[in-house]
Amino acid sequence: MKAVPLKPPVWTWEVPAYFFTGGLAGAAAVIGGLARDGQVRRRAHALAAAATAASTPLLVSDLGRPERFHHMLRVVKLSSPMSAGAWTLLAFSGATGATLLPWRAVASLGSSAAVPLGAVMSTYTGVLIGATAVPVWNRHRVLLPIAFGSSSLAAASGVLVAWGQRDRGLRRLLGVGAAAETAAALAEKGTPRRLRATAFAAGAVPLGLLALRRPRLAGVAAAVGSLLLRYEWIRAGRNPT
Amino acid sequence: MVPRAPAVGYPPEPPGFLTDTTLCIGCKACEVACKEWNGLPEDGLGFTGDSYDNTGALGHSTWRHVVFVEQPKALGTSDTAGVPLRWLMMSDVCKHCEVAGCLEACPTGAIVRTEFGSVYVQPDICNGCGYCVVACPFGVIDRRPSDGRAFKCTFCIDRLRVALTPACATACPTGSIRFGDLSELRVAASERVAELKRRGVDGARSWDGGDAGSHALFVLVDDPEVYGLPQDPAVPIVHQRPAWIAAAVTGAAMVLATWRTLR
Repeated sequence: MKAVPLKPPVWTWEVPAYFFTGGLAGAAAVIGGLARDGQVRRRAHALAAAATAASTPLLVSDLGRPERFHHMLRVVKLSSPMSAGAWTLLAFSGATGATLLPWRAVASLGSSAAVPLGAVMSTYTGVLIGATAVPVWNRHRVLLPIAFGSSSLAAASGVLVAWGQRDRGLRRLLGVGAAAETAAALAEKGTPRRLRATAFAAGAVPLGLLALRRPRLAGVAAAVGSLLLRYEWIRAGRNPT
Repeated sequence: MVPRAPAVGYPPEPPGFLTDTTLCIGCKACEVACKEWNGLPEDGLGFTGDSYDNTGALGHSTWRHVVFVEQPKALGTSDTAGVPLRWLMMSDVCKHCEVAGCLEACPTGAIVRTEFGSVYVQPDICNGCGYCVVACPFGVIDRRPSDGRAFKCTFCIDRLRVALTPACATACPTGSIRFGDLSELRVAASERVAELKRRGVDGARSWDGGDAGSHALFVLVDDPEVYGLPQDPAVPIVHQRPAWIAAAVTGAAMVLATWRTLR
Protein backbone atom coordinates (compact mmCIF):
# COMPACT_ATOMS: atom_id res chain seq x y z
CA MET A 1 0.00 0.00 0.00
CA LYS A 2 1.26 3.42 -0.87
CA ALA A 3 -0.13 6.28 1.22
CA VAL A 4 -1.90 8.96 -0.81
CA PRO A 5 0.87 11.54 -1.19
CA LEU A 6 -1.06 14.52 0.19
CA LYS A 7 0.89 17.74 0.13
CA PRO A 8 1.58 19.37 3.53
CA PRO A 9 0.55 23.01 3.97
CA VAL A 10 3.10 25.54 2.76
CA TRP A 11 2.17 28.02 5.48
CA THR A 12 4.68 29.30 8.01
CA TRP A 13 4.36 31.17 11.34
CA GLU A 14 2.46 34.14 9.86
CA VAL A 15 -0.67 32.07 9.34
CA PRO A 16 -1.20 30.88 12.93
CA ALA A 17 -0.19 34.36 14.07
CA TYR A 18 -2.98 35.80 11.91
CA PHE A 19 -5.45 33.21 13.19
CA PHE A 20 -4.65 34.57 16.65
CA THR A 21 -4.75 38.31 15.88
CA GLY A 22 -7.83 38.04 13.66
CA GLY A 23 -9.67 35.95 16.20
CA LEU A 24 -8.68 38.29 19.03
CA ALA A 25 -9.86 41.29 17.03
CA GLY A 26 -13.17 39.60 16.24
CA ALA A 27 -13.96 38.70 19.83
CA ALA A 28 -12.83 42.13 21.04
CA ALA A 29 -15.26 43.70 18.58
CA VAL A 30 -18.09 41.52 19.89
CA ILE A 31 -17.29 42.78 23.39
CA GLY A 32 -16.94 46.37 22.23
CA GLY A 33 -20.24 46.31 20.41
CA LEU A 34 -22.25 44.84 23.26
CA ALA A 35 -20.72 46.00 26.53
CA ARG A 36 -22.59 48.56 28.60
CA ASP A 37 -19.57 50.09 30.29
CA GLY A 38 -18.07 52.93 28.25
CA GLN A 39 -14.49 52.23 29.18
CA VAL A 40 -14.83 48.54 28.32
CA ARG A 41 -16.27 49.52 24.95
CA ARG A 42 -13.49 51.97 24.21
CA ARG A 43 -10.72 49.61 25.22
CA ALA A 44 -12.30 46.68 23.39
CA HIS A 45 -12.54 48.72 20.20
CA ALA A 46 -8.94 49.87 20.58
CA LEU A 47 -7.86 46.25 21.04
CA ALA A 48 -9.87 45.18 18.00
CA ALA A 49 -8.35 47.93 15.88
CA ALA A 50 -4.80 47.14 16.98
CA ALA A 51 -5.22 43.40 16.36
CA THR A 52 -6.78 44.09 12.96
CA ALA A 53 -3.90 46.37 12.01
CA ALA A 54 -1.49 43.57 12.82
CA SER A 55 -3.49 41.04 10.79
CA THR A 56 -3.22 42.25 7.22
CA PRO A 57 0.61 42.54 7.11
CA LEU A 58 0.82 38.97 8.43
CA LEU A 59 -1.41 37.65 5.66
CA VAL A 60 0.31 39.65 2.95
CA SER A 61 3.79 38.50 3.96
CA ASP A 62 2.75 34.83 3.92
CA LEU A 63 1.75 34.98 0.24
CA GLY A 64 4.11 33.50 -2.35
CA ARG A 65 3.62 36.71 -4.34
CA PRO A 66 2.91 39.36 -1.67
CA GLU A 67 2.77 42.17 -4.23
CA ARG A 68 -0.36 40.48 -5.61
CA PHE A 69 -2.24 40.51 -2.29
CA HIS A 70 -5.01 42.62 -3.83
CA HIS A 71 -5.86 39.68 -6.13
CA MET A 72 -7.79 38.38 -3.13
CA LEU A 73 -10.37 40.99 -4.04
CA ARG A 74 -10.72 40.01 -7.69
CA VAL A 75 -13.64 37.70 -6.98
CA VAL A 76 -16.27 37.18 -4.32
CA LYS A 77 -16.36 33.42 -3.91
CA LEU A 78 -18.13 32.61 -0.67
CA SER A 79 -17.83 28.87 -1.37
CA SER A 80 -14.12 29.28 -0.64
CA PRO A 81 -13.52 29.89 3.07
CA MET A 82 -10.46 31.89 2.16
CA SER A 83 -12.35 34.23 -0.14
CA ALA A 84 -15.13 34.58 2.42
CA GLY A 85 -12.48 35.36 5.02
CA ALA A 86 -10.69 37.93 2.87
CA TRP A 87 -13.90 39.87 2.30
CA THR A 88 -14.90 39.50 5.94
CA LEU A 89 -11.54 40.91 6.98
CA LEU A 90 -12.02 43.85 4.65
CA ALA A 91 -15.51 44.62 5.94
CA PHE A 92 -14.44 44.03 9.53
CA SER A 93 -11.44 46.35 9.14
CA GLY A 94 -13.76 49.04 7.87
CA ALA A 95 -16.21 48.57 10.70
CA THR A 96 -13.48 48.51 13.35
CA GLY A 97 -11.81 51.55 11.88
CA ALA A 98 -15.13 53.36 11.93
CA THR A 99 -15.41 52.85 15.70
CA LEU A 100 -12.36 55.10 16.14
CA LEU A 101 -13.82 58.02 14.21
CA PRO A 102 -15.14 61.11 16.03
CA TRP A 103 -18.57 61.06 14.36
CA ARG A 104 -20.87 59.19 16.71
CA ALA A 105 -23.30 57.90 14.12
CA VAL A 106 -20.51 56.41 12.02
CA ALA A 107 -18.75 54.97 15.06
CA SER A 108 -22.00 53.46 16.30
CA LEU A 109 -22.75 51.88 12.94
CA GLY A 110 -19.25 50.45 12.80
CA SER A 111 -19.58 49.13 16.32
CA SER A 112 -22.81 47.29 15.53
CA ALA A 113 -21.58 45.89 12.22
CA ALA A 114 -18.39 44.68 13.88
CA VAL A 115 -20.34 42.30 16.15
CA PRO A 116 -21.51 39.76 13.56
CA LEU A 117 -18.39 40.35 11.47
CA GLY A 118 -16.27 39.81 14.55
CA ALA A 119 -18.04 36.56 15.31
CA VAL A 120 -17.13 35.38 11.81
CA MET A 121 -13.54 36.61 12.21
CA SER A 122 -12.98 34.48 15.29
CA THR A 123 -14.46 31.27 13.90
CA TYR A 124 -14.00 31.15 10.10
CA THR A 125 -10.32 30.23 10.26
CA GLY A 126 -11.37 26.98 11.90
CA VAL A 127 -13.74 26.31 9.00
CA LEU A 128 -10.92 27.21 6.59
CA ILE A 129 -8.43 24.59 7.72
CA GLY A 130 -11.13 22.00 8.36
CA ALA A 131 -12.28 22.22 4.73
CA THR A 132 -9.00 20.78 3.44
CA ALA A 133 -7.66 17.32 2.69
CA VAL A 134 -5.24 17.46 5.63
CA PRO A 135 -6.51 14.51 7.68
CA VAL A 136 -6.08 15.88 11.22
CA TRP A 137 -7.78 19.14 10.27
CA ASN A 138 -10.55 17.54 8.24
CA ARG A 139 -11.37 15.06 11.00
CA HIS A 140 -12.03 17.99 13.35
CA ARG A 141 -13.79 20.32 10.93
CA VAL A 142 -16.77 20.80 13.26
CA LEU A 143 -14.66 21.14 16.40
CA LEU A 144 -12.19 23.66 14.96
CA PRO A 145 -14.49 26.70 14.68
CA ILE A 146 -15.78 25.97 18.20
CA ALA A 147 -12.23 25.72 19.59
CA PHE A 148 -11.03 28.85 17.81
CA GLY A 149 -14.10 30.92 18.72
CA SER A 150 -14.00 30.11 22.41
CA SER A 151 -10.24 30.64 22.46
CA SER A 152 -10.66 34.10 20.92
CA LEU A 153 -13.35 35.00 23.43
CA ALA A 154 -11.09 33.97 26.30
CA ALA A 155 -8.15 35.84 24.78
CA ALA A 156 -10.03 39.10 24.16
CA SER A 157 -11.69 39.21 27.57
CA GLY A 158 -8.37 38.09 29.06
CA VAL A 159 -6.43 40.95 27.51
CA LEU A 160 -9.03 43.43 28.76
CA VAL A 161 -8.89 41.95 32.27
CA ALA A 162 -5.09 42.04 32.25
CA TRP A 163 -5.27 45.63 31.02
CA GLY A 164 -6.84 46.51 34.36
CA GLN A 165 -10.55 46.17 33.80
CA ARG A 166 -12.06 45.29 37.15
CA ASP A 167 -15.40 44.55 35.58
CA ARG A 168 -16.73 41.36 37.19
CA GLY A 169 -18.60 40.57 34.00
CA LEU A 170 -15.37 40.49 32.00
CA ARG A 171 -13.83 37.96 34.37
CA ARG A 172 -16.94 35.84 34.06
CA LEU A 173 -16.70 36.09 30.28
CA LEU A 174 -13.05 35.03 30.48
CA GLY A 175 -14.16 32.04 32.54
CA VAL A 176 -16.86 31.12 30.02
CA GLY A 177 -14.42 31.30 27.12
CA ALA A 178 -11.75 29.32 28.93
CA ALA A 179 -14.28 26.69 30.03
CA ALA A 180 -15.57 26.28 26.48
CA GLU A 181 -12.01 26.04 25.23
CA THR A 182 -11.24 23.31 27.76
CA ALA A 183 -14.37 21.39 26.81
CA ALA A 184 -13.42 21.59 23.13
CA ALA A 185 -9.96 20.27 23.96
CA LEU A 186 -11.44 17.31 25.81
CA ALA A 187 -13.59 16.52 22.77
CA GLU A 188 -10.51 16.29 20.57
CA LYS A 189 -9.62 12.75 19.58
CA GLY A 190 -6.75 11.38 17.57
CA THR A 191 -4.62 14.50 17.54
CA PRO A 192 -0.91 14.68 18.38
CA ARG A 193 -0.31 14.72 22.11
CA ARG A 194 1.41 18.10 21.96
CA LEU A 195 -1.64 19.66 20.40
CA ARG A 196 -4.07 18.06 22.84
CA ALA A 197 -1.95 19.18 25.80
CA THR A 198 -1.71 22.74 24.49
CA ALA A 199 -5.43 22.92 23.76
CA PHE A 200 -6.26 21.69 27.24
CA ALA A 201 -3.79 23.98 28.99
CA ALA A 202 -4.95 27.00 26.98
CA GLY A 203 -8.33 26.71 28.67
CA ALA A 204 -7.50 25.02 31.97
CA VAL A 205 -4.64 27.30 33.05
CA PRO A 206 -6.70 30.52 32.89
CA LEU A 207 -9.54 28.72 34.69
CA GLY A 208 -7.18 27.63 37.42
CA LEU A 209 -5.71 31.10 37.77
CA LEU A 210 -9.19 32.58 38.00
CA ALA A 211 -10.00 30.14 40.77
CA LEU A 212 -6.80 31.17 42.54
CA ARG A 213 -8.01 34.81 42.37
CA ARG A 214 -5.28 35.87 39.92
CA PRO A 215 -7.50 37.30 37.18
CA ARG A 216 -4.86 39.40 35.43
CA LEU A 217 -2.49 36.44 35.16
CA ALA A 218 -5.43 34.38 33.92
CA GLY A 219 -6.00 36.97 31.21
CA VAL A 220 -2.39 36.84 30.06
CA ALA A 221 -2.48 33.04 30.10
CA ALA A 222 -5.63 33.03 27.97
CA ALA A 223 -4.02 35.25 25.35
CA VAL A 224 -0.78 33.26 25.23
CA GLY A 225 -2.74 30.00 25.12
CA SER A 226 -4.83 31.28 22.23
CA LEU A 227 -1.71 31.98 20.17
CA LEU A 228 -0.09 28.64 21.02
CA LEU A 229 -3.32 26.79 20.19
CA ARG A 230 -3.27 28.13 16.61
CA TYR A 231 0.41 27.38 16.23
CA GLU A 232 -0.03 23.79 17.40
CA TRP A 233 -2.96 23.16 15.04
CA ILE A 234 -0.94 24.35 12.04
CA ARG A 235 2.03 22.32 13.22
CA ALA A 236 -0.14 19.21 13.47
CA GLY A 237 -1.24 19.72 9.86
CA ARG A 238 2.31 20.17 8.61
CA ASN A 239 3.36 16.85 10.17
CA PRO A 240 0.70 14.60 8.72
CA THR A 241 -0.87 11.87 10.83
CA MET B 1 -22.74 22.97 -1.95
CA VAL B 2 -21.66 20.70 -4.81
CA PRO B 3 -20.92 22.93 -7.80
CA ARG B 4 -22.26 21.99 -11.18
CA ALA B 5 -20.43 22.41 -14.47
CA PRO B 6 -21.44 25.68 -16.15
CA ALA B 7 -24.17 25.21 -18.73
CA VAL B 8 -22.64 27.47 -21.35
CA GLY B 9 -19.25 26.88 -22.90
CA TYR B 10 -18.56 23.56 -21.20
CA PRO B 11 -17.74 20.95 -23.83
CA PRO B 12 -20.46 18.30 -24.07
CA GLU B 13 -17.86 15.56 -24.27
CA PRO B 14 -14.74 16.77 -22.47
CA PRO B 15 -11.43 15.17 -23.38
CA GLY B 16 -9.36 13.27 -20.87
CA PHE B 17 -6.65 10.70 -20.27
CA LEU B 18 -6.96 6.96 -20.10
CA THR B 19 -3.82 5.53 -18.52
CA ASP B 20 -3.74 1.75 -18.95
CA THR B 21 -1.16 0.69 -16.39
CA THR B 22 -0.95 -2.80 -17.89
CA LEU B 23 0.73 -1.31 -20.96
CA CYS B 24 3.16 0.90 -19.03
CA ILE B 25 6.80 -0.15 -19.30
CA GLY B 26 8.09 2.45 -16.83
CA CYS B 27 10.20 4.25 -19.41
CA LYS B 28 9.24 7.70 -18.06
CA ALA B 29 9.05 9.23 -21.53
CA CYS B 30 5.90 10.91 -20.23
CA GLU B 31 7.80 12.56 -17.38
CA VAL B 32 10.53 13.78 -19.71
CA ALA B 33 8.20 15.00 -22.44
CA CYS B 34 6.13 16.90 -19.89
CA LYS B 35 9.14 18.58 -18.35
CA GLU B 36 10.59 19.46 -21.75
CA TRP B 37 7.41 20.80 -23.31
CA ASN B 38 6.48 22.89 -20.28
CA GLY B 39 10.01 24.02 -19.51
CA LEU B 40 9.72 22.88 -15.93
CA PRO B 41 12.64 23.49 -13.59
CA GLU B 42 14.71 20.62 -12.22
CA ASP B 43 13.31 19.48 -8.89
CA GLY B 44 15.58 16.76 -7.56
CA LEU B 45 18.26 14.53 -9.05
CA GLY B 46 18.79 12.16 -6.15
CA PHE B 47 17.94 8.50 -5.54
CA THR B 48 14.88 7.78 -3.44
CA GLY B 49 15.56 4.09 -2.90
CA ASP B 50 11.98 3.40 -4.01
CA SER B 51 12.40 0.96 -6.90
CA TYR B 52 12.91 2.93 -10.13
CA ASP B 53 10.88 5.89 -8.88
CA ASN B 54 13.38 8.66 -8.25
CA THR B 55 10.84 11.37 -8.95
CA GLY B 56 8.90 10.76 -5.77
CA ALA B 57 5.59 12.46 -6.33
CA LEU B 58 3.68 14.93 -8.42
CA GLY B 59 4.43 18.51 -7.52
CA HIS B 60 4.99 22.06 -8.64
CA SER B 61 7.63 21.02 -11.19
CA THR B 62 6.62 17.41 -11.84
CA TRP B 63 3.34 17.01 -13.62
CA ARG B 64 3.69 13.35 -14.65
CA HIS B 65 5.04 10.87 -12.12
CA VAL B 66 5.58 7.17 -12.78
CA VAL B 67 4.81 5.06 -9.73
CA PHE B 68 6.62 1.72 -9.33
CA VAL B 69 5.16 -0.98 -7.10
CA GLU B 70 6.92 -4.31 -6.59
CA GLN B 71 4.46 -6.88 -5.29
CA PRO B 72 4.93 -10.52 -4.23
CA LYS B 73 1.87 -11.49 -6.25
CA ALA B 74 1.43 -13.21 -9.59
CA LEU B 75 0.21 -11.14 -12.52
CA GLY B 76 -2.46 -13.21 -14.22
CA THR B 77 -1.07 -16.54 -15.33
CA SER B 78 2.57 -15.53 -15.58
CA ASP B 79 5.04 -15.57 -12.78
CA THR B 80 8.83 -15.66 -12.57
CA ALA B 81 10.11 -19.21 -12.21
CA GLY B 82 7.50 -20.16 -9.65
CA VAL B 83 8.18 -17.11 -7.46
CA PRO B 84 5.20 -14.76 -7.57
CA LEU B 85 6.40 -11.28 -8.40
CA ARG B 86 4.88 -8.49 -10.36
CA TRP B 87 5.95 -4.99 -11.07
CA LEU B 88 3.17 -2.44 -11.35
CA MET B 89 3.87 0.84 -13.09
CA MET B 90 1.47 3.76 -13.32
CA SER B 91 1.93 7.24 -14.73
CA ASP B 92 0.16 9.54 -12.26
CA VAL B 93 -1.16 12.90 -13.33
CA CYS B 94 -3.48 15.71 -12.28
CA LYS B 95 -7.03 14.41 -12.49
CA HIS B 96 -8.59 17.71 -13.66
CA CYS B 97 -11.51 16.84 -11.46
CA GLU B 98 -15.11 17.50 -12.36
CA VAL B 99 -15.42 18.73 -8.76
CA ALA B 100 -11.95 20.15 -8.19
CA GLY B 101 -10.79 20.93 -4.67
CA CYS B 102 -8.13 23.34 -5.88
CA LEU B 103 -10.58 25.27 -8.03
CA GLU B 104 -13.12 25.56 -5.24
CA ALA B 105 -10.47 26.71 -2.79
CA CYS B 106 -8.79 29.38 -4.91
CA PRO B 107 -9.69 32.82 -3.50
CA THR B 108 -8.28 34.90 -6.37
CA GLY B 109 -10.11 33.16 -9.20
CA ALA B 110 -6.74 32.11 -10.64
CA ILE B 111 -7.84 28.48 -10.99
CA VAL B 112 -10.50 28.17 -13.66
CA ARG B 113 -12.29 25.60 -15.83
CA THR B 114 -11.16 25.85 -19.45
CA GLU B 115 -13.03 25.24 -22.69
CA PHE B 116 -11.61 21.68 -22.59
CA GLY B 117 -13.14 20.97 -19.20
CA SER B 118 -9.69 21.00 -17.66
CA VAL B 119 -8.58 22.81 -14.51
CA TYR B 120 -6.04 25.53 -15.22
CA VAL B 121 -4.00 27.83 -12.94
CA GLN B 122 -3.63 31.26 -14.49
CA PRO B 123 -0.04 32.18 -13.62
CA ASP B 124 -0.63 35.92 -13.94
CA ILE B 125 -3.27 35.85 -11.22
CA CYS B 126 -2.08 33.34 -8.64
CA ASN B 127 -0.67 35.12 -5.59
CA GLY B 128 0.64 32.00 -3.90
CA CYS B 129 -1.74 31.81 -0.94
CA GLY B 130 -1.28 28.04 -0.83
CA TYR B 131 -4.90 27.13 -0.12
CA CYS B 132 -5.19 24.97 -3.24
CA VAL B 133 -2.25 22.88 -2.03
CA VAL B 134 -4.16 21.56 0.97
CA ALA B 135 -7.49 21.37 -0.85
CA CYS B 136 -6.41 18.68 -3.34
CA PRO B 137 -7.30 15.17 -2.13
CA PHE B 138 -4.70 13.66 -4.50
CA GLY B 139 -1.64 15.68 -3.55
CA VAL B 140 -1.17 17.14 -7.03
CA ILE B 141 -0.78 20.90 -6.84
CA ASP B 142 1.98 22.67 -4.95
CA ARG B 143 3.58 26.07 -4.54
CA ARG B 144 6.98 26.49 -6.20
CA PRO B 145 9.34 27.99 -3.58
CA SER B 146 11.61 29.68 -6.14
CA ASP B 147 8.62 31.35 -7.77
CA GLY B 148 5.90 31.80 -5.14
CA ARG B 149 2.99 30.65 -7.31
CA ALA B 150 1.16 27.32 -7.48
CA PHE B 151 1.66 25.07 -10.50
CA LYS B 152 0.24 21.85 -11.91
CA CYS B 153 -0.55 20.02 -15.13
CA THR B 154 -2.22 22.29 -17.69
CA PHE B 155 -3.49 19.46 -19.92
CA CYS B 156 -0.96 21.03 -22.33
CA ILE B 157 -3.60 23.62 -23.06
CA ASP B 158 -1.25 25.36 -25.48
CA ARG B 159 -1.07 22.13 -27.48
CA LEU B 160 -4.82 21.48 -27.26
CA ARG B 161 -5.52 24.93 -28.66
CA VAL B 162 -3.66 24.01 -31.86
CA ALA B 163 -5.26 20.57 -32.08
CA LEU B 164 -2.29 18.62 -30.73
CA THR B 165 -2.50 16.07 -27.92
CA PRO B 166 -0.67 16.56 -24.62
CA ALA B 167 3.06 15.91 -24.63
CA CYS B 168 2.87 12.86 -22.38
CA ALA B 169 0.29 11.06 -24.51
CA THR B 170 2.24 11.93 -27.64
CA ALA B 171 5.49 10.58 -26.23
CA CYS B 172 4.16 7.37 -24.68
CA PRO B 173 5.67 4.53 -26.78
CA THR B 174 3.19 1.80 -25.80
CA GLY B 175 -0.06 3.74 -25.98
CA SER B 176 -0.49 3.35 -22.23
CA ILE B 177 -1.45 7.02 -22.07
CA ARG B 178 -4.33 7.77 -24.38
CA PHE B 179 -5.96 11.16 -24.77
CA GLY B 180 -9.38 11.67 -26.26
CA ASP B 181 -13.10 11.90 -25.75
CA LEU B 182 -13.79 10.79 -22.16
CA SER B 183 -16.96 8.89 -22.98
CA GLU B 184 -15.07 6.85 -25.59
CA LEU B 185 -12.22 6.28 -23.15
CA ARG B 186 -14.67 5.04 -20.53
CA VAL B 187 -15.91 2.41 -22.98
CA ALA B 188 -12.34 1.50 -23.88
CA ALA B 189 -11.47 1.16 -20.19
CA SER B 190 -14.31 -1.24 -19.44
CA GLU B 191 -13.53 -3.28 -22.55
CA ARG B 192 -9.88 -3.51 -21.49
CA VAL B 193 -10.85 -4.56 -17.94
CA ALA B 194 -13.08 -7.30 -19.37
CA GLU B 195 -10.22 -8.48 -21.62
CA LEU B 196 -7.79 -8.55 -18.69
CA LYS B 197 -10.18 -10.58 -16.59
CA ARG B 198 -10.58 -13.05 -19.45
CA ARG B 199 -6.80 -13.42 -19.39
CA GLY B 200 -6.78 -14.24 -15.70
CA VAL B 201 -5.99 -10.84 -14.20
CA ASP B 202 -8.72 -11.08 -11.59
CA GLY B 203 -7.96 -7.77 -9.86
CA ALA B 204 -8.35 -5.69 -13.02
CA ARG B 205 -10.52 -2.62 -12.56
CA SER B 206 -10.90 0.94 -13.73
CA TRP B 207 -10.65 4.00 -11.50
CA ASP B 208 -12.43 7.24 -12.26
CA GLY B 209 -12.05 9.36 -9.19
CA GLY B 210 -15.38 8.77 -7.46
CA ASP B 211 -17.03 11.94 -6.20
CA ALA B 212 -14.26 14.10 -7.57
CA GLY B 213 -15.03 12.99 -11.12
CA SER B 214 -11.58 12.52 -12.57
CA HIS B 215 -10.81 13.42 -16.19
CA ALA B 216 -7.91 11.00 -15.98
CA LEU B 217 -9.08 7.41 -15.98
CA PHE B 218 -6.86 4.52 -14.97
CA VAL B 219 -6.93 0.78 -15.65
CA LEU B 220 -5.43 -0.91 -12.60
CA VAL B 221 -4.81 -4.51 -11.56
CA ASP B 222 -5.14 -4.00 -7.82
CA ASP B 223 -6.70 -1.75 -5.18
CA PRO B 224 -6.15 1.94 -5.88
CA GLU B 225 -4.36 2.28 -2.55
CA VAL B 226 -1.64 -0.02 -3.87
CA TYR B 227 -0.81 2.72 -6.38
CA GLY B 228 -1.25 5.62 -3.96
CA LEU B 229 -4.69 6.58 -5.22
CA PRO B 230 -7.54 7.05 -2.76
CA GLN B 231 -10.19 4.34 -3.06
CA ASP B 232 -13.16 6.66 -2.57
CA PRO B 233 -11.94 10.21 -2.95
CA ALA B 234 -13.93 12.96 -1.32
CA VAL B 235 -13.42 16.62 -2.09
CA PRO B 236 -13.35 18.06 1.45
CA ILE B 237 -14.04 21.65 0.53
CA VAL B 238 -17.54 20.91 -0.79
CA HIS B 239 -18.62 19.52 2.59
CA GLN B 240 -18.38 22.76 4.55
CA ARG B 241 -21.89 23.14 5.83
CA PRO B 242 -21.52 21.36 9.19
CA ALA B 243 -18.43 23.44 9.94
CA TRP B 244 -20.19 26.72 9.09
CA ILE B 245 -23.12 25.69 11.26
CA ALA B 246 -20.71 25.06 14.12
CA ALA B 247 -19.15 28.47 13.46
CA ALA B 248 -22.56 30.17 13.49
CA VAL B 249 -23.59 28.45 16.71
CA THR B 250 -20.27 29.41 18.31
CA GLY B 251 -20.67 33.00 17.14
CA ALA B 252 -24.17 33.16 18.55
CA ALA B 253 -22.94 31.70 21.83
CA MET B 254 -20.18 34.32 21.97
CA VAL B 255 -22.71 37.10 21.47
CA LEU B 256 -25.06 35.61 24.05
CA ALA B 257 -22.32 35.14 26.64
CA THR B 258 -21.07 38.69 26.11
CA TRP B 259 -24.59 40.08 26.34
CA ARG B 260 -25.32 38.19 29.57
CA THR B 261 -22.09 39.15 31.32
CA LEU B 262 -21.46 42.70 30.16
CA ARG B 263 -24.88 44.31 29.91
